[in-house]
Amino acid sequence: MISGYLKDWFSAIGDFTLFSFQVLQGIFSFKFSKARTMEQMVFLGVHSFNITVITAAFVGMSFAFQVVKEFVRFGAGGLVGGILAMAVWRELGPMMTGAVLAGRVGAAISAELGTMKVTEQVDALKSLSQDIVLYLVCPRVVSLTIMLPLLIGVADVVGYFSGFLIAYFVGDINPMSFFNSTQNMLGVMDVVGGLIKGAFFGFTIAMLSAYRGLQTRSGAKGVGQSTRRGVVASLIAVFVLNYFLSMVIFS
Amino acid sequence: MIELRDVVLEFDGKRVLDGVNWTVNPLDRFSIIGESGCGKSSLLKLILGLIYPTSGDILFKGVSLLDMTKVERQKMRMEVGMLFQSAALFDSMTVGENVAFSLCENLGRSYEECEGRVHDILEMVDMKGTSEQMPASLSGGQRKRIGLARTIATEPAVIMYDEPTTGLDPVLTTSIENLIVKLSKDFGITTIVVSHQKSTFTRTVDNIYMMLNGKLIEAGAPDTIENSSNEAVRYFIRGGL
Repeated sequence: MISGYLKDWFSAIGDFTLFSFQVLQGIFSFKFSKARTMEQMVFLGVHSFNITVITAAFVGMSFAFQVVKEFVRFGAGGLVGGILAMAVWRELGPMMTGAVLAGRVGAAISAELGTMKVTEQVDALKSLSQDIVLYLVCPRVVSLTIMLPLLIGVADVVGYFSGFLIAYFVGDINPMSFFNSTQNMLGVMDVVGGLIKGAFFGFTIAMLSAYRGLQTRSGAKGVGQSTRRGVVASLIAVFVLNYFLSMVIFS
Repeated sequence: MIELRDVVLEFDGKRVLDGVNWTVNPLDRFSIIGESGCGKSSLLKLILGLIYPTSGDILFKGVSLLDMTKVERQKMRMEVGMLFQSAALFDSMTVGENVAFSLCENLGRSYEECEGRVHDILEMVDMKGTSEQMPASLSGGQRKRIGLARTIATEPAVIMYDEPTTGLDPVLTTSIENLIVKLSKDFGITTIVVSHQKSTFTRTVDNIYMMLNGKLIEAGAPDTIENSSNEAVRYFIRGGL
């Protein structure tokens, strides 16, 4: 039983490696449709704007609420702006946006491709001389790799200013002190690093979700399974990647 | 034109096709029959290169599918069309876009350039005026017609039909059967029909192949097959009576 499980596991890794190679080859061949990529940028990116803003606002406010109370208690209210900015730009913005999109977009990609697989639409595409990787996968991977950093940029700004509102109204922090500490503590690399993380997250979420979707078998149950697997794999990948990217970028 | 040599196909250790040898010549019109799960649909997918045999070889115009490059395989698929059992219409596209798909994607034309051809093809399959509809709004028979329209858009030399009349009422079944005959005769299309429907496999083709346990066990004209000396064939044709 264990040997069978290991065999399946290694086989899946081999399949995914081959799939990744094909996708990278497809992307760098630039033969995928730019129009479909734009469509996907709207569907995967622009349509995720609201959920990104709402999540970022509440994460920013929650974090600020905790930080303000404690920092003011220890007489360090003047550092709140800088601490909040670093936390949001380095970690909270990228990770929360990555996790939210792993759920929203990862599920959408896995479910859509999974449904296409079980309803023979993928076979139909092949029978009509289409390359599945170029037609279905590359536009999704490229669009999410571009859109996720942009959404993280939005989340960073929204999270930061939401946190500022809490600091001002709840913690009675002086706005000048808040923005000055931000200016002193936040570096360009903090901002850019978060956006770089976004590109990695977008690429990984789209790849894992598309792979799971195209592996779908046996009807509605299979679509449910592949969607769950796609989302779980994407979420884990976001958290693991976030740790290692933070180590590399911010060390 | 198409040749299968000792083709064996296994799924999860189960042998679906067991040493199939078979040749398809231009303008052939025949049907493959057999009980559910005997490998009929898999045979069509093998010919299109959608799945690969466990052993054996499949040749298209003398070239092995296994040796073809991706581009050569895509060119081959322009010549071999397939109507899927579920029609497999792209549900995010309109009927017109479905029909124009191959023309736009493979020949690099815009939808507007293809619109005239799309209307002609829709008229040919009695679906005129539906180009703006979405597939979800169509009945089963209409979906099959649109699937067929999409298949014939690029004028393939061979069309393979996977259960084209399954789940349709008798009137729709007859109309789809008439369409298959019309396309094969008027346009000289090599026709392969996989079907369970007796009327479909007796009305639309010249020859029938019977499959049992992954092998082709009998071939002949519909009359010959109906009066076969093989008991398994007669049992199947007469619906188990």
